[in-house]
Amino acid sequence: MRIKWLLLLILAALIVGLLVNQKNQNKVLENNESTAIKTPVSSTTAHDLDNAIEHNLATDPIAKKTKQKPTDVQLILEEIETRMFSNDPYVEIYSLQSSMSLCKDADELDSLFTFYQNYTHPKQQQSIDVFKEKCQQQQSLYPNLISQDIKQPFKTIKPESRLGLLLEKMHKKFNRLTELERNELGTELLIEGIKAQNSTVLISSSFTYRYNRPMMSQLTHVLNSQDLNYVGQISQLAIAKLACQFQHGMACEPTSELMLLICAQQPNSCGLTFNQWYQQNTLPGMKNDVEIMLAHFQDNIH
Amino acid sequence: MKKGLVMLLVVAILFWWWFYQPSATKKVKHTAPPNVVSFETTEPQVKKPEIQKKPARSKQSESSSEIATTIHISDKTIADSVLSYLDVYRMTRQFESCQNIIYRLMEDENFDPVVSFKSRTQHLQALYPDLPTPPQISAIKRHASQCEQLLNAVQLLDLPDLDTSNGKTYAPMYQLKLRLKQYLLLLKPKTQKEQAIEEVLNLIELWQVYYEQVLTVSKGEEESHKAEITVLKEQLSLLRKEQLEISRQYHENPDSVERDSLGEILKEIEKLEKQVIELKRVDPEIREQAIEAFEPVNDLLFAQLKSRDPDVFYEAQKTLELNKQIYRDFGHFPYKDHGGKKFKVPFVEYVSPGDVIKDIFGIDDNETFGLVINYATQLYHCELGADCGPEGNWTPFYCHLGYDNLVEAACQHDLPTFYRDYFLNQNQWQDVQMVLDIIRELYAN
Repeated sequence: MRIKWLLLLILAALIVGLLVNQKNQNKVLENNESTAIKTPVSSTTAHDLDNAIEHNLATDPIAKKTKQKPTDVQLILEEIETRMFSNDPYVEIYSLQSSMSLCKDADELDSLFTFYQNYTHPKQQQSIDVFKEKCQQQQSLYPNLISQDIKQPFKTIKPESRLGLLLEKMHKKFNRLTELERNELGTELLIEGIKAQNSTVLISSSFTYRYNRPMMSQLTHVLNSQDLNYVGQISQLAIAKLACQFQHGMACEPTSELMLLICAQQPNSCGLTFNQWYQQNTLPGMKNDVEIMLAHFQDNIH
Repeated sequence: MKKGLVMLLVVAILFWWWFYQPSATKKVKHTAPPNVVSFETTEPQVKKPEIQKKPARSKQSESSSEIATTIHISDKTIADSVLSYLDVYRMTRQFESCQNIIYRLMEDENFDPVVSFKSRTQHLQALYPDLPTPPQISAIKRHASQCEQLLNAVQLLDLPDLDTSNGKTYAPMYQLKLRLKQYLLLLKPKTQKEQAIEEVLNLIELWQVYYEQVLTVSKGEEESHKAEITVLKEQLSLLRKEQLEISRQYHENPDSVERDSLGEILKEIEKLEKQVIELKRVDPEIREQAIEAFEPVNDLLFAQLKSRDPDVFYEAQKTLELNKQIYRDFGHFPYKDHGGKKFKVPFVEYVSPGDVIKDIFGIDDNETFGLVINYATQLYHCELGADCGPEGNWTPFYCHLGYDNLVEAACQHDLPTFYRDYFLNQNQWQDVQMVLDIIRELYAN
């Protein structure tokens, strides 16, 4: 009888213990999430980021609470087994999707070329055809990644790196950030993009960075020019040049999204690599300043 | 003793009269290097009305050391014939740079130019908390005073009535602007310079007629498929109303609108617009004839770019670049509207002066080209003798009239000095000189 009561007591204690433990774990999860997401960018400390990364690494990447079928995500993870960009699956998926975004939507590709006029120059048509062939190759390598809705994998896969967390913040919270926070996020993305040698993030950053007035005004001393428009453009060119050094120059090929965008605006530039376009479209002084800015970015990141 | 005092008083009065009597025709002299001339050129000076100082309006006074003056035309029956063709031409040019202020002056009797500046440059305040600096404030007030003086002078002229038979109505400021331009057409140029200006302005009128003819033909006619196009246009009209409504709802409450709904409507609009364009017809022969008629007039206007007169060069350059702005993109306007998506066959054959120079360098990119061409073209304009002082054609844009890149040094130096020593770096200056060499080769040889 006594033993029975003792056993019942032990069992009750175990159940209570389990319940309490579960509650505490949820609290930790909530606290870490609010640290990662709710904290304004400007006060995001390295410590907070490290906590978030550690937590995400510790939890199962395929969270049970999600509606996403684990098998779809599993297939994507298998497709990206050989990494091009990062060991962080969040970053890898984001980078691959960004570099292939025009492959997903034929209408968007057409819109790019008919934005300014209703006709397509023969050189542009040639580039579009080559690009579509490349898309077919990509589709055979990453069928699930390309066919999935672009946001779907990010519902389950959590970032495991600083760059990943910043991308997640941009993805989820961009519209709710103040202008100052957006500018700071842009700068952090650039810094982490360079450290991570991620060409996709760099190309994307080069566009947003260019119009980041506060940052441009801080860079005037690098070039000794008060012309903010000039400083912005030179910065963009320098970042793009940097991006060409990573992932075997894929971001700068004639069929890259960057060069396709340029081709859409300038038919004579269709078929060029970024470096060829750059040699043709910049003057000697600009080239000197691009090298100065490039050195500045490289020196100050490391 | 008394006599001595009286003598002393007379001497004092004479002394005061000799040194402090204001001059009726005060010339502003610049100490700038050659080719940077004062706004008042070497042309014979018109006797200007006496300037009377009035107490400053309280809102305009920012510092006790500055007294804002309102310029008052004392003689209300100013004879129009006192003003030369060149005077009135200068007024039309000045009207362009004063347009916004004149608009405000006509609409708001409490207009304060410094408050207006601060409102316009709010987005820069966080970055530049000192904006506007004292030199900028002085420049803002001076410019506003000059614009007010101009407005008063224009309103005193016996301007022709505006032709309203086309049914169009214009804001009062714009009416005044058009009537002033009409007034200039009625005046007879006398000097060689005035005749050169008149010649280029007449040529520009002709050029615009021929250019519009090419555009009209390039748009495409709708008669061949009128019924179908009408139906499509009705559908477009409904979609556009829907688009405006969704945009309004989104503006009020972003969460009330489905994320992709605006995008979907825009895609639908684009599709229908494409269908309308496809149904339009252009006769290639008629289009070719219109272009052939345009080309000789275009060549004549291009030839005016070789003029040594800065005003003739200015008018030709601005027109040929299809640029309606007065400060931006003077050398190359990248947003030329050749019809784009609205025309059946956009007039892409058109090549502007900036496009010619772009081709010489083998550059395709408008943005990198834009980093140099405008500075170079402005500097060439200065070399021809344009007013490039702190209150001249260009520097006010960097001092206070622009929306960013506002630099105090522009309020105090001429354009070449400002660019070389305060704005551009050595690499930029070298690139600009390279482009300037090409411009000189094209136009000055």
